[in-house]
Amino acid sequence: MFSLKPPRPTFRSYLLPPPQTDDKINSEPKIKKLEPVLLPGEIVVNEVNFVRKCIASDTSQYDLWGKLICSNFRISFITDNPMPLQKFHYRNLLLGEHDVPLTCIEQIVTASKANGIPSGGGGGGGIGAGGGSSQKTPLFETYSDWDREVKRTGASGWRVCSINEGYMISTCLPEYFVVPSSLADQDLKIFSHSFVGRRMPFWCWSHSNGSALVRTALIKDVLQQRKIDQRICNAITKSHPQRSDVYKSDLDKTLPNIQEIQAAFVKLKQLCVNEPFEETEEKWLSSLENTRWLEYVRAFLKHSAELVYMLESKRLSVVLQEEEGRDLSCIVASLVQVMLDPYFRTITGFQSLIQKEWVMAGYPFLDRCSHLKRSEKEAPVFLLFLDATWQLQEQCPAAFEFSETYLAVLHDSTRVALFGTFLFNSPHQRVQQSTEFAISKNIQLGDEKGLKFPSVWDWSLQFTAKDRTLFHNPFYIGKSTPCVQNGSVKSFKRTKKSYSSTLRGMPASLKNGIISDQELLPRRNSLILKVKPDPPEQSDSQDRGAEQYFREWFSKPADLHGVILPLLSGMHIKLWKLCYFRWVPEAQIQRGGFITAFHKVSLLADEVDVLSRALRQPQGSPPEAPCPELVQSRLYFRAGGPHDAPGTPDFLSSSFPFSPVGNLCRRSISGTPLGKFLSGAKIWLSTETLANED
Amino acid sequence: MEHIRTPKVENVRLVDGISSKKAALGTLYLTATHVIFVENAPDTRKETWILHSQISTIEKQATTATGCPLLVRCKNFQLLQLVIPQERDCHDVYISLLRLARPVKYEELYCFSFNPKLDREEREQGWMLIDLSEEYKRMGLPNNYWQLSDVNRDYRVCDSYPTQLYVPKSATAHIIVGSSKFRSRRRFPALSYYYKDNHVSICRSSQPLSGFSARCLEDEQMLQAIRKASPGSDFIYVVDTRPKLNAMANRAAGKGYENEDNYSNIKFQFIGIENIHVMRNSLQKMLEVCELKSPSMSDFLWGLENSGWLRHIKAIMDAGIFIAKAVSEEGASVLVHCSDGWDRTAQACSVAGLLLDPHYRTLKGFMVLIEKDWISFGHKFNHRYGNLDGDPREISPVIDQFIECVWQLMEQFPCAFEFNERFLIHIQHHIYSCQFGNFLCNSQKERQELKIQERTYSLWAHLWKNRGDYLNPLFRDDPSQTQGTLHLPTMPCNFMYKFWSGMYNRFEKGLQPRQSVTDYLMAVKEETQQLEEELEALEERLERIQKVQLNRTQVKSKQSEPSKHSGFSTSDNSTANTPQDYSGNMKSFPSRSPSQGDEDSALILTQDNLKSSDPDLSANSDQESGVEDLSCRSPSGGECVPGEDSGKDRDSDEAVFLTA
Repeated sequence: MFSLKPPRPTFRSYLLPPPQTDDKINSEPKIKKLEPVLLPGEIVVNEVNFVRKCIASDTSQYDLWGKLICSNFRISFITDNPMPLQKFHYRNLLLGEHDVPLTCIEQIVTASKANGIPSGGGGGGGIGAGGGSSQKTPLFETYSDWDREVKRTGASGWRVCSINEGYMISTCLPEYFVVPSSLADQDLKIFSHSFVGRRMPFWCWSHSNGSALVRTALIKDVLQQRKIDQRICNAITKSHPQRSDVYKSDLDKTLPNIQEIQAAFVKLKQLCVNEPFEETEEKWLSSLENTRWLEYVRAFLKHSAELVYMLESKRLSVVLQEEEGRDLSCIVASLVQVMLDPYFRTITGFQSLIQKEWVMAGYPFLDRCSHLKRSEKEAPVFLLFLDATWQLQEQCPAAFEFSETYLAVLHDSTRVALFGTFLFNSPHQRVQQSTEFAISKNIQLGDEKGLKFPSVWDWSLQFTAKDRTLFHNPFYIGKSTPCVQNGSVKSFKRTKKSYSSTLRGMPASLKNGIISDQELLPRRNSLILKVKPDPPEQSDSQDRGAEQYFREWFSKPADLHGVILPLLSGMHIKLWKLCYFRWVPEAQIQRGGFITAFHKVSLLADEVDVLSRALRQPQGSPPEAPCPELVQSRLYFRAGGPHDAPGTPDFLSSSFPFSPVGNLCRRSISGTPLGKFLSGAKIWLSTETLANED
Repeated sequence: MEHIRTPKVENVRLVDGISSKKAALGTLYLTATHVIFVENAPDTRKETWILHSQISTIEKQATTATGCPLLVRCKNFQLLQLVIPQERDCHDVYISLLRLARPVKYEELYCFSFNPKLDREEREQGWMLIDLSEEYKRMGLPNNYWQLSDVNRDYRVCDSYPTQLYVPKSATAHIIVGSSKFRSRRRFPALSYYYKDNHVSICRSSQPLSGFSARCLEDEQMLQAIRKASPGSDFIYVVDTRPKLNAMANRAAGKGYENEDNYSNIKFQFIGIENIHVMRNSLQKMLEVCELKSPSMSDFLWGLENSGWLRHIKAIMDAGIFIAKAVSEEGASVLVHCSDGWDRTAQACSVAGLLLDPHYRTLKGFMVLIEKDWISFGHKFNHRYGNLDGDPREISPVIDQFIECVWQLMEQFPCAFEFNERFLIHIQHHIYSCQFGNFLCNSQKERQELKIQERTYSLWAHLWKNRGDYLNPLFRDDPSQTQGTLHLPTMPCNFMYKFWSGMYNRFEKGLQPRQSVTDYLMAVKEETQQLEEELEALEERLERIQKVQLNRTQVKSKQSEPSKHSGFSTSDNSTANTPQDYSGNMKSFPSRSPSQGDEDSALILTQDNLKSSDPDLSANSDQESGVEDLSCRSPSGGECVPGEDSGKDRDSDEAVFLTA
């Protein structure tokens, strides 16, 4: 909202309205009726009639006519033409089907005949969440939120400190944070001067074994470095019930930096959205590799998994060190907690994690998302985290309460500049900027610290309750669903018959590729057979310990309410197709894709819900009028009546609930005619081919 | 037995797979049909059984301090390393295996000694399960335009074709024989699939012997007859699945492709599937990637791309999609060929069939499809999969590629197939195992001469008997959904195709995902069923109680019309394995409340606790009895799918019960 752009000269349409041959009614009055529905405070900056929205790049027959308005929030196209090809299965309550928030626009290109808006991220949000999880997301703005978190994790030896109240110490730390109990406020105040951004070590999370996860900026004061470092480490050790040592992880040295992440993402976007696939086709895998994106995702997962080993198995407290501690630390701290703590795999928990490790910890959303002017500091660090979370979800589908749609929508929400959540570089900046704004507009703030912005976690602002159910993962096996029964419902007992996993075989008593022993890795492209009679002993016992730990974990049945670890070999890290390909018509599989399985599973899970509810009904008493929240399913797709045998609905496609149609970066929306079908396919040959042809 | 130099070696170390670190110490046995390794560890005594026919290569590696290593690569992608203490023993084992893995007579193959203890009648019935004449009937044949021809009676025209063939009514014996003389190996155009909806056909043949200019009137008439058999269309497509250059190179040898000028009303199209040699090398390269230990992102992606494997898979899919589109969208008949018309042609026709006809996406339909396009039309199973010792240049993973195409489709359309991944993997396994007679020999004729049906058993009957293991819980036999073609993306791109870890790395246990959608579904489905049953039982009980109360107190109490939830598709669940003993328990109402345990953990099916307790899959390792006499015990009995399930430890089974 600070991105209010100066009004430009009025738009003019150089196009004529479409000839209405079969329609008797003049289009003129119709268009006049097209009025935007504005949000409170939204101002129309400019508008123009007779605008044509191109749907396909190779034909104009699907184009829509209407009016284009530009407000201080979005560009909106209003039409009353039906949309035969664009199918939207969810509605963003703030954004229409044809709206693009200004902050989402990457680039505006003047085309010869029409204005094309290459959709960099997405035309319109997604679906909302929180439906089933009625709990409120802790925002970690208050003392009590932190205090509750400390108690929830059972951390002893840690306390909430308030020295940063009013941002007196650091402008990029939250007002309240958690520190070792043995450090006094006075000491902290002194130490703080030595840290970059005055970001002294603060607690993230504690394992039930007492080891803690702590993040910190670097100590810039070289003279004091040793001393302060010693004091801090001693304090963290003291806060550990076993007085275990501290393991320090220098993220700047081990992980890709934000420029590299940004460069990888630019290449990925180029590959997935902008490039015609015929050209990249044969080199698809190497092009994908060339972006380095998957490698980076893997690097973060791998590093986080190793820290899980430190915390869980070695029982060491872990300190994440990073220059400023506001980027890579966010990802690593979050991933470690997602792997270790099942709470963070629920919707509420995940949102609280983002509040705790991103929003309040001072992840510079404003800079990284480039909400204002094009920023040098732009980098999709948050998206990388969502991607890594998706990889975990892909590998352990039942461990997460939320769906991949939720993750994609969450990513989109960083582009809607209405929510305070993802708008600022730090909580302090929010207070400061909005206070200045309020003063300039003569708005009375009263007791409030700055203006209150809507929170993105209030998904009902964006999505209907029905759409929000798409956030729920039907595979999730949570502890939330109580199974109450008067002792008469027996627990679900599996038959002795075993199912399909066995087709792959045996438990993994083997190494699983979780840690790559660098010295054994072949150079790029060399395909040396890796079976050696005697694997050389590893010198590093640490690595061996970690490997042992991973191997053991993988050899046991996964406990979805415990630690989850990712498989990390190259073949296990995948491209998040829903997120990156949802605007690409070529990648759309009609009535196919994972969503069809999601649909079926939802129906089954819904049946289970209904039946267990029926069982839970008190015996003897008449069936009560079911209370509404029970009837309100947590699932988008509901099981129908007895005679309803729904197949895969026609509208499902692999990019559901997003619609790839109307993305002008792509060539065609309708199918390739058969005659042209193979013309693009190169018929390539090797010398080998000819030599051997018989 | 005369080839076994040493039946038993003790203190052998087994390293199972690439990712395995620990070697297991045990005893190695060589039998007439299997290599068996029994671990010494007293608590598990885990057994690993390898069929000789599965052995692809055996490699002697440099001797180390622990002994002489033998590296055994299997055709089902298992990789084993045996470290034998004594050089002499190692050599004996090596020489024995070299011979055992390459039998020279069909009679040496496992199917001739495999005895699943079925009587004659059962065996015959097994062979009758898949009946191609029924299949042609299902397609709507014969009809006004197509008839069953007896021209190939006693294999007089073409010895690699079946005797029962459908040809256009207007194609006389004279035309057929004439056409056959103008085609490689006399494989004349014959019907592979009839698409009822549009009355068009997919026919198959080998390449014409056209050279640079040769013509054959009968062959031209034959193609015309095919066109006329679809009166709605004025042309047919001729699809040559080879790359254009390959086809041109063939002209020099007097073979080649149809000249559009000579044949009236044909549209000619090359597709570009590479030949068997390229495919063999490509698989080799991809397997090298699979054998990388913990590959990095670039090792994996570059290696996969350089192997070209997925590109070949795409080419085959493209061929199938082209044919399916021509038939369903353009309403034109298609004649498909490659060189001999038994490799690429089989791939292209069967992929097209799968796309077009939902029947082929069912369990039984898929068996029919393989029986029709592969077995009956003379795909050279023996040569391609090296069942008998032969020319290694003939070996190529042709049907493996088709099976992978099916998997790729299953990944894109998770609800469209009645069967699951396991079904495909087990079929692949048995194509190489030679445990059943179906895939023996190179043609129908050879199989008849060998009297396969009288001497061996049919895999189809075996799979059908165990169909519960092979069902896809996401599939619903719902006409509105399953009818019609699969709508593939209009421009299938390489990013659609994925590496099939479940096949090529299936013995690398640590590499497999911990959970799969299928597992969850099976669990949810079962739970639904149980809840339903309990609900019914509760309702019954409630009714009884109410009756009792009514009788006693004569109170009206017209309450609680028990809500009827029985509508929740019990019938559907019959496809899942019916839990056997619940109905018995039902009335006793076990007192344990689910909330006592970890309520929902029972739903958590992981790979590990899913370990086979299925007798069929684990029979060979289930023997509690001593293993001392293993060396002389002929492995028989119900043991059917060794391989990935052959080794088993009881711990994981206990885990099933612990979590339950």
